Parts: sequence; structure tokens; C-alpha cells
Amino acid sequence: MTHKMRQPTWLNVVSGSNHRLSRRELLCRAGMGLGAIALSDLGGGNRSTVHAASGLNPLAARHPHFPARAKRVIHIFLNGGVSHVDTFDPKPDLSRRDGELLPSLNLVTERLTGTAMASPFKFRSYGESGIQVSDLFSHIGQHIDDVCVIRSMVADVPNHEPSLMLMNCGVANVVRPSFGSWLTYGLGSENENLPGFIAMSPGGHPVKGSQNWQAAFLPSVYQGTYIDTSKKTVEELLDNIQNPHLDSSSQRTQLDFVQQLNANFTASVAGDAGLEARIQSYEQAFRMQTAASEAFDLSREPEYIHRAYGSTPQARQILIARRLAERGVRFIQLWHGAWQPWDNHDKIEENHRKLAGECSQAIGALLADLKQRGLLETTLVVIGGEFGRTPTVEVDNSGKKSKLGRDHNHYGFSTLVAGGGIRGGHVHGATDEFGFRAVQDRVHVHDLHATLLHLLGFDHTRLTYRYAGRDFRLTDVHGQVVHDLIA
Amino acid sequence: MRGWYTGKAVTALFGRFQFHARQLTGLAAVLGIIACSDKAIEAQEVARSEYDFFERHVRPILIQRCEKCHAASTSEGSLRLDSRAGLIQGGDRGPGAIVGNPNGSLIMKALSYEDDDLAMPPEGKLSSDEIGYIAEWIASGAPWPTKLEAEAAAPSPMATSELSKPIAEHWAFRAVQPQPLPSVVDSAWPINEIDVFVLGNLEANRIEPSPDADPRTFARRLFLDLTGLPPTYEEVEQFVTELAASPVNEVVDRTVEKLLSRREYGERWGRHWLDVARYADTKGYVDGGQREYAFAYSFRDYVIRAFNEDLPFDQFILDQLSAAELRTATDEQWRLAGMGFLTVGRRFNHNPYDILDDQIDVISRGLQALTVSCARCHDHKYDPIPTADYYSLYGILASSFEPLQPDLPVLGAEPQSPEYRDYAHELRKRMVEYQAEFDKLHRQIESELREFATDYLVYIVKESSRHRGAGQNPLRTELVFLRGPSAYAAGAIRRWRKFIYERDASDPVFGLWHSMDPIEPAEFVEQLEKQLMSGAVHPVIAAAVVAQKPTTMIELAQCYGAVLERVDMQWQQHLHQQSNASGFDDVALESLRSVLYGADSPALLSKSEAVDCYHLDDSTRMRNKAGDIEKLTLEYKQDLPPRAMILRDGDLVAPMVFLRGEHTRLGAKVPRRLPQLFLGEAPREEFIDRSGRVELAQRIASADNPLTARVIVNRVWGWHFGRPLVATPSDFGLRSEPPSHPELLDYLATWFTEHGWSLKQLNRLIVTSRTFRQSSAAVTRQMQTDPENRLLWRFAPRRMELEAIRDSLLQAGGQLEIKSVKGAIGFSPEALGANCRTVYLAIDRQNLSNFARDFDFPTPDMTAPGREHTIVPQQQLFFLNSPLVMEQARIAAKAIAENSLGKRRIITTLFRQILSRDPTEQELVHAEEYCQTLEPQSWERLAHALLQANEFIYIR
Repeated sequence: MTHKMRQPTWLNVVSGSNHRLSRRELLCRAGMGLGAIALSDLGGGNRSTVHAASGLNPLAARHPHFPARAKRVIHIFLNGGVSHVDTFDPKPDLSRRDGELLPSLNLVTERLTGTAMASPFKFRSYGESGIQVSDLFSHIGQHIDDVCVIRSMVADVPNHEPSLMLMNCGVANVVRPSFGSWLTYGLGSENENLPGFIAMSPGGHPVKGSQNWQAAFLPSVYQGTYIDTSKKTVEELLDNIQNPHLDSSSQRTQLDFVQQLNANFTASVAGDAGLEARIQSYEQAFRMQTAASEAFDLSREPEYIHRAYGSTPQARQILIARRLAERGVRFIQLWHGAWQPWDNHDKIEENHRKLAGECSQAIGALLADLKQRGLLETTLVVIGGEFGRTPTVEVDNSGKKSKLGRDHNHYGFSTLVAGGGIRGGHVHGATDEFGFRAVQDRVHVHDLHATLLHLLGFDHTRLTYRYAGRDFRLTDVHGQVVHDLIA
Repeated sequence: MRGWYTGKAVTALFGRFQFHARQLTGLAAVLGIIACSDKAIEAQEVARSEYDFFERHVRPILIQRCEKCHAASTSEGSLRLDSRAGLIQGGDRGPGAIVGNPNGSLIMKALSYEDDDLAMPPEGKLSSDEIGYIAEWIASGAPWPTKLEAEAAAPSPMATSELSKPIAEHWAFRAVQPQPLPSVVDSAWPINEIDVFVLGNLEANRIEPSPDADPRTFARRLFLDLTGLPPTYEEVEQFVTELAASPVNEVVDRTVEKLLSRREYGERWGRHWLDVARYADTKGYVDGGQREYAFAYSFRDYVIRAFNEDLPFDQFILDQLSAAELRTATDEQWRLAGMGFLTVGRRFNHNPYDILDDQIDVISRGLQALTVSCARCHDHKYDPIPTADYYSLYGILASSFEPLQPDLPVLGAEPQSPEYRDYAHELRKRMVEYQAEFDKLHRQIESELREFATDYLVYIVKESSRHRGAGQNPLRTELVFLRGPSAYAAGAIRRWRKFIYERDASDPVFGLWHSMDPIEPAEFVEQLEKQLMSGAVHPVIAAAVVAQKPTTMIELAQCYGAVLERVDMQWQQHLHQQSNASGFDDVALESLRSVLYGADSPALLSKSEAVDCYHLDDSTRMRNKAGDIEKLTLEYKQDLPPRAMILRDGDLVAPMVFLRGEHTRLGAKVPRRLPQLFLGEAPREEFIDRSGRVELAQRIASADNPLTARVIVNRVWGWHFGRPLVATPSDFGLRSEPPSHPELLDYLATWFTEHGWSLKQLNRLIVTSRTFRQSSAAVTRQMQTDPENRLLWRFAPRRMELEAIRDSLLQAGGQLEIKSVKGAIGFSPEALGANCRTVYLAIDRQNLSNFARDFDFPTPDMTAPGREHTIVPQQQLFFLNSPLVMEQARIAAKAIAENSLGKRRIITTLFRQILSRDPTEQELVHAEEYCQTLEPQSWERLAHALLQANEFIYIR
């Protein structure tokens, strides 16, 4: 608790004297770091167990419980539910039984399904590990030795909304903070000129909208900042990032005048940490105008990078994610698109092919790019949906007509994790012979959360927040760290 | 695998063991035998070898495969397998093992993987050897070394010590005590009783109170606190002038009176309450139907009016929970809108269980500072709130329904225009269509449950792998898609399942079913014959069995189904001939008919039960249909009178516990009644012929409720001082921090109820106190001993809430109009520039504006205990660059520059307009210097700079 100082260190400097502060003095003070200022009134008596999470600047960088392998997360959310048997979990038995009833009962999913449906996609072995990936994600295949494929993921119900909540907030049916909010709460931000948690989706919100990145009872500053990446210019992407009338130097002159007023005011009130914090926050906001504009400006990337990632909206936001990761943003969540594009109840071959075409190349490029820049070691890249899909074909309500698609499947699905201390080139767990249910080394979503938090330096049972009389945590009362996933 | 022991062998085995007395009682209860031994030594030896078996074969399995989820720290399904007692006691699904009877033990069923819903361990079935060991161990009495057991069974210290604390001892659950005033040394300081308590505390801690704030600062504080708007320069100066002529207390009293009577008071203080009420104008994410509330604003307007008219707080509570029942007089009609407290919450994609949970939460945390929602899935870990009480309360609220929009009461007069008549006509028409569709579906579901009885019965048999064949989709039968459970509906299958499993082998109709269900396939035919011979089988069922000769449980279910379906047809024919028939005369036939039509028939559905059987497609269709009604209203909303979003009592729900909060897993029935903690020691009444919602409201709005007055008084204190007396205003449970000033809290609670629950009087008492009048300046010594100002040695400065910030901006630009606003203003970003107060802007809970988020607007998805006051750069970007701030600066500067003469004069006027004060000489010089560099835009720039000042957004 070394950050928590009861005595604001600036108090003696200002208290009682009425002298004006020069800009230099102000900037120097800013350099002292806000973590040094004690908090008196953040929240209704909430106490965190995280070191100094109660600093007046809630985004100041903080240390986790123990030395971390990973410092940040990029979560590529294939929302709607990507089919595991068509991508990362090959099932030869499914091809052999194509069109036949499965020997055991079909598990109950949201809708009705019929006979086994072979995957229309070809699987190939990649890398030294020889892990099989379908041609939908051949670009990921090329980096599979850096990727851990969890083939035994399990969620609770076959419906989107609760499963999205489970994957993001660790619980299906009550309002709880999202993973990114927990992480930003726990670690703060490495770059105070950018939001700590950014969620991007081209063209609009996914199902459940902002609940996917909600802070819930955590201070709202930990909520994800949503950015619609179908927009391209910095001014469109970020609110209030530029002044329509003032250039930088006139703004600086104005701010100097404001800060003079503020210094006088602080001296007259003498003794509120918030006043001092706001003085420094102005300096930060001033810097942020440049820093954030720069971070989102893809025209600064060379041509070969653009070529490597591709030019779809998904590729663009994946490239932005790399720039944000470089600049220390903690949690970057990339949604494939509005609503639930991967929810292919029908015509899965056509639809999955189109969707993978929009992101596969860029994901591959991201893995390569992060690695080449030495960032992959400290960045967890998570790729997957809220659940997988049935190995059996979905039929209409008459039970007779095939829709050539697959229903939701929470009994077993795949999630990929790369970087940040994860064991690359490794397959963890397995589903049954058809891919319906995870049968070996099952990893519940809670376990995935516990493991990711572990790599980020947190004991998931100790990253808590007191609310309504109870210490809440991302994994509620569940979750086991899966050490087999860790390098 | 070694063979099962017979019951007789087990009894014999038991006789040879020495058991701990506690176990003995438990076992005796389970087995119905008394086992004891007089050969202790021999028994110990036997026990040792049996323990060896346990240690060698059983314990490793329990540790490696079970305890990960079923131990002290986790206990999934409330089941613990780290002790013998835990195993026997079991969890949500009932006892885990019947000692001596592995066949009848739940754990064996789970290990066998027979049942899709209960297959353990989840990561894979145990080997047959391992299963055999456990069976053998249970058969042999499940011996478990006592010492180890004792260690594992010791409950965690927190769980016991806190729960065993007598309820009455906790400060918040004790009756409010009248408090004598403490004696103080500095008797000149206090103005009213509040000050005596505060000073008493300060003196005890050897801290001096701060001097009074200077008059200008205090005037600003008073105005912002009571109205959410800063005073104008003239108002400040008038306050100062009056001070020269009259005693300070008189001037303060006069000013307070003036502010309390302003419309702005209700707009400010009503907004505080809207935080508690998690008010918003949209439903949140919904799939199908409309996402916007057309009339949520009627609740907002009700709250503002209630504050401005100083509606007594107890009446305010009664309105919010039961106005539809209690406010039937014409002049009380506006109070119906108070029920929005229950209905303006998030709609959780229409999930009824979550909606009710949110209502329980807003009532219990908002009004009682109790976290009752914790008990949705398990008994409250700290407070005396068992899950049963949660579902008792659930039953009360679930027995109410929300009328369709055309049935919501119109507030005020309905327009007489032809357009309105057309609208009303069309609205009614859509509602009639909806009702017809709803009733049709209701009847269809009921008849499906009868006509397809066979399919449901066969499905239930197939749920066990012992009876089913391969390769079938269990939900799809040849005729019908069975109504199974979904995220939003419990489905109809469980109705049949429950009906059957509430009966046993002695049931006149389903007795045979229960006799045959546990029989292994190989012995089925032989056993069936024996049963038929016994003569106890229902004659019609027996005849069908003789005719059909079923050889499996599935075929037996088909017999049952065929019989029931035939009886249904017979009954329909009978009705055709004799339409007033109430049953068959034939006893045997009548017993079968009552399975389908009797009072507890699975096919007899209330409205809400029918909804609970919807297929996904039904839900979507009906939702869209209901959405069509609301859509029409939304199209015309500008021209419509408001309606009150009420609830009415509907079908009375007999609540059952949902195990782990899952609506598909039913536990025990519970009475519909108030949670014990709401009543203190008083006995509880079960509500038989009514929902109990009115009684709930009355109990909460009662002066002898120990929580209600304390909770609101504490909130009000926090809204004035930025820090409530109890740091957790929505949680007064056993784990909350005690109040900083317990005597003051009780004094105020008593005072409040004695003064007619008047919030205006309470506010008057607080803001006229000396405590509230203290300077906000920090004093070094005090900052060292009490930096958080818990003892109230000063008025702690704080950043204003976003509503006050935006309203102040508009006032500075001269753009703010104080007026009542119809409806909620816009969901677009441009609405931020509207010239009304912020309380009237629409709140889209799904897409809160960045402005709201950046300035700590609390999530309207649940009741908010308070607000954060963070400082983040996004806020400063808003002040640096946002169109709203720039625009107010421009307007303010333009008006002043046009009407003033001379630089100094203009600067001074800008200071007065924006900061309500004159600049100091030094500020004047600096401003002049600054402006010199900036012609010709300088005044606008200067105004913008003043808006950015800390002084502008601080209450101090």
C-alpha cells in the first residue's frame, strides 16, 4: 500500500501562501504522479483490495498481485458463435456420419437440430506442432505454434445474451463488471493519454450492446470506451478530441490562464485533492489531444503493413488494436461487427467463408506483427465466440427441412489464446468424437478468466470489489487456473 | 465390481460399528433403525480396515474428482463432498447418499451418467471400478474417519460467527432510539441539534470545528445544494446586503425558504431519488418489441412534483409500491405514476425472473438498505436472509402484472381531437388483436399438454439413459415439438415431470409407473406381471397394459399416454352432449380425467404459466405483437397525455425456490409473505387471497420499521455533504461499517418521522445547521488526523454532479429555461444543447451518452447507492473542446461585449455572469494580459477560460 499516502504531499507547498504557479511548476507537479495523492471520497465507502486503486486518478498504473507474464489483452470476439467443428476442432467422424443420426441423443440446444453435418471446410496441419486448422483460418494456422487451442471450452446455456454476459462479465443473469473493466480497475492504464479499455465494432453494437463492456458497480471510468470503426477520421472516432477553433498554441495560452485561475482557487480552498487532480488532468487532456489522434491515425502506417492486414473494416480495427497495444492500452476488444454476424443458423458454408475472409488475414498479420515487435510476449490475444455450434444440422420447426447451418452449442467449443505467457502450439482438451460436448480437460469460461487473470498477475480470488456488502470478483465463486495452458 | 449389499446385510454391518452420536442420529433417521454396539474394541478394528478401504479407494476419488467443486470453499449445488455429513446431507437436489443404499443414492445416479442433467464428474465418467468402490463404500455404511471429518466439516468462521449474531443486536436492525443531546463545552457554536451531536463528537476527538464560510461562498453552496444551480451575481450580492441588515440566521432561514419553494428544488432533489430508482427511458437490450418507454417520464415528473409538494416520505413509498391499489381518488390520480419505481427498470430482454429480481433489488436496497438479491441463489452469506424469504418476496411481486399500454391509466384529460380518437381507436384495436392471439396460444398450449400427453410422458422416461434408445432427438416427436426449457421460459416438460414425481407408488393412477421406473430392463416384464397380479393397478391402466404388453418403460409410458388421450377424447364427447358436466361419474375414469383437468393438472395453466411454456418463436411473435401496440404510441408520443406505468395484482403465484436461482430447477414451495428481516420480531402473515404488495408497502412505510427512516435520512445527509453517515447507503447489513455518528443518525430518523416524514423540513434542518455552514478550507492539523472529514470538522469541497455542471453551463450562457418539460428530450447527441434542465434529457440505458459516462452518471441498470466523483481527462476534453462549452462561451461573450463599455468592465461582467463574483484586482490584470494576445475573439476565449475554471464546477 505504498501508494496510499494520507498526507497530500503538495499541501505544504501551497497551503497558506497565495503565490502564483508558473506553468513549469505545474508540469513538474504533474510529474510527481497522481498516485501520490490520497483519496478521500471516491465512492460510497468502497474499498478495494488492489493496491492504491483508490488513488484520485483511477487510471494510474498499478502493480498486480504478483509479477505478470502479460500486460494487456486483445480480445477478438467472433460474435454470434463461430463453429468450432468448421475451424479449430476437426472431426473426421462427422464426415463419416454425414447425414446420419448421431448414436446418442442430440443435446438440447436453442433450436431443433437433425443429423450430423460434415464440415464443408478442409483441415490441414500447420507448424511444428502440426495442429489442424481449417482453410477458413489458414492465416492463423501459419502462426499456430504461438497459439494455444482450447478445444474443451464450456459455457452454461445455448443462448446468446447470457453467454455473452458470461464470456464478458463472468455471470449470465445479473449486472456485473466486464473483464476489461476489472483489468483496468486492477492495473490502471500504462498510457494515461488514452482510455484504458477500448471496445471497437464496425457499424454498431453487438447484441447486448454496451453491457458487454460495462463497468457495472465499478466506477464508470473503468467502462469500455466504444468506438465505431466504420468511421475513419480521428474526429469522428473520438469525442471532443480536437478544438474546432483554437490551434494548439492558442489553446496552450488559454490553458495557462485557466491554470492560473485554478492555482489561486486551490490556494483559497486549500486542501482538496480533487482540485489539484483536475489541474493535472487538464494537462493530461491537453496532451491526449495529440496522443489519441496519433494512435488512431492509420495513415501513419507504411504501405506494407496495410497490405499485410488487408483493408476490411475488421482489418482496420485489428491494426488500430496493435497501435493501441503498443501505446499501453490495457484491454482492447474487437467485435467482428454489429449484432451477431457469426450466428449462422443457415448456410454456414457461405456465411462462415465470407466472415473468415473479413478477418483471418488481419488476425494472422496481427500475430506476426506483435511478435516481430516483441509485443506478443506481453500481450494476450484471445480469439473466439460466446459459444460454438452444433455438429448436427439445424432444421426448421417442422423438423424436416435442413437449414444448412448449425445451432448454438455451449456444451463444447474452441477458444484460441496466443502470447502473454500462454503455451503456444498446444491443444488443450477435447470434445467427443463429433464435437458436441467437451469431454476431456474441460475449461469453463470461469476457468479461462481465472487463467487469463493469472497470466496478468492476479489471483482471481483476490481481485475483488466491495459492493452491496460483498466482495465481488470476475469469477464469482468459481474458476480454476488451468496450468496446462501456461508456457 | 462387487455386488450390492442387500438391505439386510447392511443392517448387520451397521451393528458392528461404533458411531459418533451425531452420526448415529442422522443415520437412524435415514435408515429408520437404531444401531448400536457393545463391542467397542472389535468395532474399532473393523473400522480401521474399513477406513483403509476408504483411504485407499474412495478418498482419492473424492479429492481428485469431486472436491474441486464440492468442498468448503466452492460447494457447487450447495453440495460438499469433503465430509461424510456433507455427502449425506446433500445439496440442492436432496440428500447425496442414503447410507447403506447405493441404489437409492443420488451420488450413484450422478456417477452412472444416466441422466443428461446430472452427470458427474463433468470432465468424464469414472471407471466402472471406481464407481464400484464408491457404491461398496456407501453400502458398507460410508465410514469416514471422524477426525478428518471434523476438520473438513468445520464451517468457515465468517459463516457461523456472523450468522449466529442475534439479529436484534445489529445497529441497523434495532429499533430507532430517541437520543438525548450530548453535553458540549462550546455551547455558543451549535445552531440546532445536529450541531450538538457533531460538536460533541469533535470535542471528544479534540478537534475544533471550522469557522463559518464567507457569505459569498456560502450563498453559492446553498443555492447549488438546494436547486442544483449557482446563484446569479445579483442573488449573491442580495444575500450579502441582507446580512448587513439582519442577523445571519434570519437571512439564511429566509433564503432557504425561498429556495425550497422554487421549482428547481424538486428538479434537483428528485434527480437524487431517480438515482435510487434506476430511472431511464429505455428498456435496455431487447430482442423483439420496442426498446423505448413511451411514458417513463411520468415517473420522473411524479418524483419532481412529490419533492416540490413535499409529499410525506411514507406516502411517497406507498405510492411507489402500490398506488394502483391505494390511490383511487381523482385528486390522487397523479400519484399513480409513482409506481414507475417498479416498472422503469431494465427489462433484461423480457426475462421475467430478472425483471422481478431487479424489483426486489430496488425495493430492498433502495428502501431498506438490505441486499436481499444475494439470496436469489443461496442463503445470504452474512445477513439473516434465507433464500426462502427471497422467493416469498418474489411470490408477492410475481403476483402482479403490467397492464398492456392501452390499459395504463391516462393522467389528466384525454384530448378530444379527432386525431387522438383515431389513435385511441387503433390502439384499442391492436390490443384486442393481441389479447385474442394471447388467449389462442394459451388454449393451444393447454390442449397440447393433453393431446400430446404420450409424447411428454415418453420424453420424461427418455431423460434417463436406462430407458432410452439411441438416435432420437428428444424434443422432436413425430407429432409435435415439445415445449422445453429456454433462457426465458421454464417450459412444459417440467410440468409433467413435476406432476409425476410428486406422486409415488401409492398413487392410484401413477402408482404402477413408480413401481416400474427403477426396474432394470432385464427384469421389466417379470416385474410388470407381478405388479398386475397385485391388483393395486388402476383398472383402465391395467387393461391397457394387458392389451399392449409393454416390455420397456418407454412402452409403458406410451400405454399411459394412450389412455390419457383417449379419456380426453371421451371427455370432449361427453361435454358435447352435456355441456355443464363437471366430471365423470365413473370413479376410475374421473381419476384419469383429473390428471388432465384437475386443479393440479399439468395442463391447467394460469396466464403467466402459459407464457412460461412459450417456444422461442412464440415469445418473439408475441413480443413483436405487443411491440406493435407500443410502436403506435411512440409514433404519437409528442401529442399524447402521459400514462402511469402501474402494476396490478394478477394471478396469485405460489412461489417455489429456484435452486441456485435457476428457474428450470424447482425447489421447495414457500409461502407468499414478507421476509422476516422486514418485520423484526413480529409474526409473519401468509397472504392467501391477495398478493401482499400493499402489506409490503405498508410495512416499509412504517414508523416502527427500524430501517426506512434511517436509510432515507442517511441518503439525504450524503446528498448534502458528499459523504453519508453510513458509508454504504444501500447496505445496512451485518458487514456494513457502522455509522460515523450513530446517535445523530437515530436522532434524525426520530426527528424525521415525528415531523411528518417531511423531506423539506429535514433539508431545512440540515442546511441551517452550523455544521453545514462551516468553511471548506483545509486545516493542516485536522487534515492529518481526519483527512476524510468523517468527523465533519469542515464542509468538504467536491466536484458537482453532471446535471449541475450542464445546467450551470447553460445558465452561464443565458440559455437555460426553467420550465416543465413534456416527455424526455431526445436521444441524440444534439439534445445535450437543448435549453432545458438536464433532468429532462432522455436517458438511454443501453447507450448512455459519453457526457453522462465521463461525468460519473451511475448505471441506470440497478439502484445506485451514490455517485462517484472521479477526475479523468475525458472530462477536461469536454471543457476544452466540446461544442456545448464553446457555444455557451460564445453566447455569453457576445451578449456582454455588445452591452458593455471598456475592457475592465467587460471582464468584470464576464466574471459575474460565469462565476457570480467580481474578479480580484490580480485576476483583472491577468485577464487583461490574456485578452491582449487574442483580439478580436478575446471575449469568447476569456468566457471559455472561465467556464473551464475549477471554481465553476465545485461545490465548496
